[in-house]
Amino acid sequence: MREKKEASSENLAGKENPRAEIEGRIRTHRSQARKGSYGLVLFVLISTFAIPGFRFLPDLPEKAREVLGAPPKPEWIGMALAVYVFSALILALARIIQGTGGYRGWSHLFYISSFYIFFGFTETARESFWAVFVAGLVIFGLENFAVRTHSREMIEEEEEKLKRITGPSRT
Amino acid sequence: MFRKFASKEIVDVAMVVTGFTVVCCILLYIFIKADMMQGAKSYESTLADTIYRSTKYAMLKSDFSSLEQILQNIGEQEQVEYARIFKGLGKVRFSSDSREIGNMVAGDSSGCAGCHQDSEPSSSSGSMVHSSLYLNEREGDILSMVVPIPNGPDCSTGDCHQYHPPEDELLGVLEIGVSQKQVNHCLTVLKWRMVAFCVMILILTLGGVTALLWRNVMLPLNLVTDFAERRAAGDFDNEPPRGIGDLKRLADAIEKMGPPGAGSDRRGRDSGGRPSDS
Repeated sequence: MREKKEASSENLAGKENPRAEIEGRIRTHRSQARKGSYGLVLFVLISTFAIPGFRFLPDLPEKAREVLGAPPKPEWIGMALAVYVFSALILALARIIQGTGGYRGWSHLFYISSFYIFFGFTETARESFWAVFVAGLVIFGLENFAVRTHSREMIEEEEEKLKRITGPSRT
Repeated sequence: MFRKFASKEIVDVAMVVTGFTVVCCILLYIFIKADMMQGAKSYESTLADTIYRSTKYAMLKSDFSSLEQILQNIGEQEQVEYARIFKGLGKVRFSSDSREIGNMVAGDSSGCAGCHQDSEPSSSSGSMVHSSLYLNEREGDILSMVVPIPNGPDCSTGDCHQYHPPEDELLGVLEIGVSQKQVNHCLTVLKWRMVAFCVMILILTLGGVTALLWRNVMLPLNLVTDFAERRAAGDFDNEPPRGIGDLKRLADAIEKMGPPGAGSDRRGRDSGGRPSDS
């Protein structure tokens, strides 16, 4: 009787550790999935400040303009944007196919902001805003989708393991 | 199962293809708009030069009635909003709209801003031809072009015409305004055509991927799943489905998991011979 009690308490302790680990991993995957939404929200926030005519940031002083020189032509910036979007989407798709997790959207915040800044100094700022905004929506949308899909799959696997552990104990 | 499977495969493909197409269409629209604006500026520059040359003779002959008639005829063209010549200090001397004659042009108007941004007006000939785009409350976008009328030997030293002192660099300024309604209409049509194109791309991508996925993956998978479930329920007499492409390997493997000899029985029936003894 005593041996039975000791065995069942050992069984319980044995179950608690893996269960806690699995639940910890589930929480990690859930927080990973939320990163995609944070990235998308941050991108929309940055885009709000970049709206032409919003004038959130002060104009560049004349001396700074002289040091920086003339801005590149809008056509060159547009081509750079097309190449950047293409590369970003190919890399994201490759990660989806490989099934590697992790959110890689943070670096895109920097690149998208750079395009907003470059286009802001050209005469096509109003139309170019939409090109950059749609490009950002697509890239951040895909990254969000990839990280959520991967996290959901991992969570389902962990929940399966949890079910097997919390099933009837073997005596 | 199809919805879960499809949502993973269709959403990212549709997002990538359609999103990239939309970005490229927007960029293309920007480039086309810039080219059309450049074309409009070039046309207006030619028009301004034509007006200047046409009116120069009338000015030299001091034939002001002909000069006014020329400007009025030009102003009657459908796309020309106005054509006027004003002297120094911005007073309108000749205009396609006779009501403007004698009025002063506002110093901060777009036509003046190109050369009068600093305290000293720019006077080098290279900077004088300036085109600016501004909104007219009545009609919409108007592209205005300002052309200086420089002093020349004919104007100051000719026998018939010595009205202007030689030290005057500029005798006046010609300003014309051309409506951009036609250009804007073309751009609007182009924009909606691109929208329609992107919508078609989205539909084709979604529809194409869904159809291919359903035909080549989901249908065979459903057939093999049904076959496996019937086997699991104890029905070993049913044959593996046909026309399932690469999933035939899976179906054959499931069949071999059945009672011994099940696969050989079927192969025996297919070849017309007797089933072999187990």
